[in-house]
Amino acid sequence: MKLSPRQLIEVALGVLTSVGGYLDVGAVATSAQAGAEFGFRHLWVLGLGTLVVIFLVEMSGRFAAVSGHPLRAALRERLGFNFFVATSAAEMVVGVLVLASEIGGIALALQLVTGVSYRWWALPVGLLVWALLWNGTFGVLEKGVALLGLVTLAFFFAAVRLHPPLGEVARGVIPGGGGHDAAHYWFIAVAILGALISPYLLWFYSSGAVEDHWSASDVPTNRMVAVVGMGFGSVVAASVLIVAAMVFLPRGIVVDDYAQIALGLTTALEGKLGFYLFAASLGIACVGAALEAALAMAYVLAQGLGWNWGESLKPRRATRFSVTYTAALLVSVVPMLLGVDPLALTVFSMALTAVALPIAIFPFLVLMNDERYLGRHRNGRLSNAVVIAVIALAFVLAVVTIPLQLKGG
Amino acid sequence: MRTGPRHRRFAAAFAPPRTQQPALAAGAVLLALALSACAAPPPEQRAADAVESVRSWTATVRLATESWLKEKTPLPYTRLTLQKGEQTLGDALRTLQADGVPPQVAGDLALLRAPEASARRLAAAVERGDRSAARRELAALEEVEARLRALDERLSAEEAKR
Repeated sequence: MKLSPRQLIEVALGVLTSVGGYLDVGAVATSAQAGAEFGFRHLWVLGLGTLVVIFLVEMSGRFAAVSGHPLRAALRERLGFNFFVATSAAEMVVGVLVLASEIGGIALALQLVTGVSYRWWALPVGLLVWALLWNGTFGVLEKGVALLGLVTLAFFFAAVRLHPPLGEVARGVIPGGGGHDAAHYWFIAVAILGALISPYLLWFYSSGAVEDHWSASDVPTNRMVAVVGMGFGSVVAASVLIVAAMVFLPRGIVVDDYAQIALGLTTALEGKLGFYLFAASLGIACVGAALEAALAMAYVLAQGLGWNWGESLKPRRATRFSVTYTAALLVSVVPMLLGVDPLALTVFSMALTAVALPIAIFPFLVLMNDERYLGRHRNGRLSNAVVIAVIALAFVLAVVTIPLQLKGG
Repeated sequence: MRTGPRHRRFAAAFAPPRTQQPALAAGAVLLALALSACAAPPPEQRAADAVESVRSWTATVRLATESWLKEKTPLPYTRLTLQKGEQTLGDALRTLQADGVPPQVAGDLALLRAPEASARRLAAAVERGDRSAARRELAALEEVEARLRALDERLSAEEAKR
């Protein structure tokens, strides 16, 4: 694959933004819980989830670049209006929960630094995210926040500094079970998959490609960014897990509060640096993810219903699009205002995302195999097989483990 | 950008799914499993959960205070974490006692109560900025933590035997 200098710059920027934007509240929470309770034994789940994310992100970018269609509009025209309404309703419910979790993450980061309860921060945080969406353009929001998100690399440096046993880390990459607490082990595995394979990422990524006017010549760039960017991004998530395994597991700390997760970086790094880097990482990663989640909901509705859409348009030129993300934000601040436990909400939302994955991903695969949209760029058998297998696994595990988890409290 | 209804030509050729039976079946399974999950956990599990929670938050309180002593964390964070620790430790004990103390931990109630009081004293010491009092309390808490670890391991071994 030969890339021009312009494409190389795009790849470099794309990789940086992918790494900076990889973490969100779900990845932080589920990786920290996994490391604290099961050591390195969920690393293979992170690997599997990342592999699927690479496939899906590459597909969604390729679809937008080759067909020029926004994904949701194509899904509607391919599978019909009833299908669009049913799937969109399910995705909106999950989307609101995910957005609420991200808002909770930002509010928690502020609580860590100020000592003022996250409930007081929920509304200002909702307003901040809304103001960024209202006034920002797609490029600024996508690249600006994701580049700030490079602060999450602090987890990688902390993991290296803690000198994890490389043999055990390597064993964690090989699939295994959870021993005596199998139900909880598999529930966390499901939550990790739900956190990594978020459908909103696809809607956001493909809509961004349309907003940036990608063409078929961008397919190689897209592939490089998906593989390298998501690959390196997963190293950050793995680092969160490794830090948790090194700091919490030996002490018997089971993570059920973000305040505990902060102690991971704090212990690993000198002075107050670790503490503030954790707060910054959590806050910035969640701002980026909240922007993506809110926009994704607006993209889904606007594209499917044929409204004007585009984050780069002035709100008055895409009124219903802007009203959708405004309404989504309004609803999403409510759980935090009511004092819902942010970590419990996050992990549950991620597991629920795994339940909803087939609703979003299988129709997407139908589209990716349609010659009329993609011509010779349509999916190969390998990518179809990998994505179907993992999504089916995540769904079955979610259906079995969520009730077991509720039973276990 | 404008998209949507103009693309309906494809919809005519590819009708929406006529039935949603697989989704309904999956929903029914999920509902059945969720309903079956409503039963109260057995006493040995309640005991194990309570010990795990007390042990976890005892270690958290200790690590948070140690970090404060090393000036790695700001006061507002330490204050909130110790408050949360005291509250969670109290909740764990109250939950344990609500449906009758399981026989597995009936003789360990004093040990399980100790960290809550310790967290309260640590919070007071941190609030006063009294480092030597915090260090003394930490030394006592370290001993409690070791006994909790032994209790946790004993319960895990009993669970494994079953």
